[in-house]
Amino acid sequence: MKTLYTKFVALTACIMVVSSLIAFVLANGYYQQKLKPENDEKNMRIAQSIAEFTSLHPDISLDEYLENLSEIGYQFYIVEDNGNERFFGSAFRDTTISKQAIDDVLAGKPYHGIRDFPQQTFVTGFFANELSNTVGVKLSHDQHQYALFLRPDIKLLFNEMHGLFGVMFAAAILLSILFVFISTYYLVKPIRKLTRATHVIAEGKFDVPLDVTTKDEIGQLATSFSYMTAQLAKMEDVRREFISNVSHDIQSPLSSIKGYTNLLAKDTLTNEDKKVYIDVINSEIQRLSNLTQQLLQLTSIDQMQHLVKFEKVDFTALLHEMLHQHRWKIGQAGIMLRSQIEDIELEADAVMLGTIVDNLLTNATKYNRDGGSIEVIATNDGDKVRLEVKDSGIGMTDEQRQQIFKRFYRADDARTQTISGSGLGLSIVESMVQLHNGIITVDSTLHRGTMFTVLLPKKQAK
Amino acid sequence: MVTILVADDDVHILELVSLTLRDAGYDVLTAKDGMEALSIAKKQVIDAAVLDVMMPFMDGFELTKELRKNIDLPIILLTAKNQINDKAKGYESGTDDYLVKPFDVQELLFRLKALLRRYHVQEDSDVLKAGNLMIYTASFKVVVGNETFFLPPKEFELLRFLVANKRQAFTREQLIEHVWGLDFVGDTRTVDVHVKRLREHFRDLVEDIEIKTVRGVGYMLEVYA
Repeated sequence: MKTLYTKFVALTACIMVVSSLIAFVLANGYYQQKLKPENDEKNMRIAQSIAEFTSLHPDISLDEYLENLSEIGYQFYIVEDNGNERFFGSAFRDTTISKQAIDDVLAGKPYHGIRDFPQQTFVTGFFANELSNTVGVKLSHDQHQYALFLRPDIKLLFNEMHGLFGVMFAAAILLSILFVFISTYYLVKPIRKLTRATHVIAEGKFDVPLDVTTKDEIGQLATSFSYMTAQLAKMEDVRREFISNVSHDIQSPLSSIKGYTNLLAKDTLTNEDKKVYIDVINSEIQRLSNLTQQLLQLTSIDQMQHLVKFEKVDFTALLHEMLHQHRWKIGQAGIMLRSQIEDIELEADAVMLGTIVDNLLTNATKYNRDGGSIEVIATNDGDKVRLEVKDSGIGMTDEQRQQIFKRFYRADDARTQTISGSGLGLSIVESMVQLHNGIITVDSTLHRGTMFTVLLPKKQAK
Repeated sequence: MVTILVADDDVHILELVSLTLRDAGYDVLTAKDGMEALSIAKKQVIDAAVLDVMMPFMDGFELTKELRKNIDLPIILLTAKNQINDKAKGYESGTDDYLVKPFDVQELLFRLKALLRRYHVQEDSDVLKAGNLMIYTASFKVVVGNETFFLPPKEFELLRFLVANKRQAFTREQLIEHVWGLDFVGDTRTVDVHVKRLREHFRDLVEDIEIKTVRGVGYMLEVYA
């Protein structure tokens, strides 16, 4: 399973390998540039002091002396000028050395093999157990001339260090992996809690306690998660109430349609009765049709919240078009439509703007009287657009006025009972105006009429 | 006789529209899809077209474009969606007007009549003036200054008739005959109601003209300028 654990561990191992490689290359570089000449220098001094000692003490046995020295941590190679050669101490892994180097040393020119050891990326000269990786000096002893080559016996000197470093390194790796495991557990714990919470929410329960208290990114995630849950719970409540409202609003016209079709089935009806029943049925059908249309508009606002498409709209043309679409119905209702429209352009969502005007005109027609009028005035008001839709209709009380933008609110009194509506129109208008960062206000006098004023900014913030 | 082409793939609507148009005295040709409509238009002379947007083989927009290539005639599109995209596309393709389903057939008749009238009358030769009042008879609108008025049909007809015959007195019976038609059932009080409404609407707006009550006769439009 690909869990965060294995990912973290693999990642940690990778990081350690890569950083070790880089560290090695850097250390090697440092050795080559800085330590190698120093090392060469140091060993050269040792070789010279050995040569000095042997030349001053011709009576000691050279072989015994070198044998002894080799036991405290040096490797030697010695060549007499007649060609006799001997090794002391641990064996060299590679015993080649140029004849030239030997001749030079015998001629008195020191050999700097450590300093001149070829530089390679992945080979540290320090550990190279090769004869060429030595320093050489001329050694005189008891009338004999020798070339002495020497290097410290790294293996002998640092054997324990190897073990020490090895254990340290291995322990570091193992412990790192262990700690990564443990810390990952604490890191992953809140994520697991969140995952469990999502499962609970998916089952439709919104009261999930989330005891994630960390202040880091995961803590922030948990906080926004809790916020989201609360919002979802709220929306769920709204949705339930909404559905119960809608069902009621669909049920009631349906039952009245059913009742009137039953009445129509009687044989004894007069033509006038029939006409009355059919009119009732028609108006109920119209009510259902309006309701579904407005429900569609409503869902589209809820969805379009983030999809509002602002573009340059010729408001004048749009208003003329809406008036054209409404004038027949307005005329049929015996109402005069009066308009005064300036040349206006604004940034808006054309579809929504059309819906706003459409709903306001529909309301102004519905809540009007025979012989009344509707006045539409659109003016430029600085960086805003002012649209006034005024009717000479039935008006409303202050209490009603405060409620009208609520979903499903309908003024419920004798004057409005005969007017069909869903109570959604103005709620839709208000939402759409707000999506345009505008405001809508209403002025009304009972029995005299109502005026809606919409103020919309001409430019929308990007 | 005026011939109107109606195209819709919905048989019920096709029937409803053609019945209404026949009742109103038009000659009607029907088509069940765009291709059929186009072939009819190629064979017969038509004066106006009522086309559904959503049709098989060729939709209303395409059909409008095709028809526009050969003949200049009033076209009304019927659209099921109250979508501004449809409207924009409709006007782009060259339609004169559109109606959103479900629509009132009476409204269709009204729009058709207005379009036919507009196609046959020169726009500017059709303006009546009295004082600062202008009446555009083809588009059924009244303009005073920078305000536009759409009146209910009978109020408009009454005003148009009085302005067209200014300074002539008419009896209520004469006005009913000219504005409402001979088959009008109702009493002459209707004329009084409409005159009262016209006076109310324009009381503070118009200068130099007045609908006067002529005692013992009826009404006349007086122009003082």
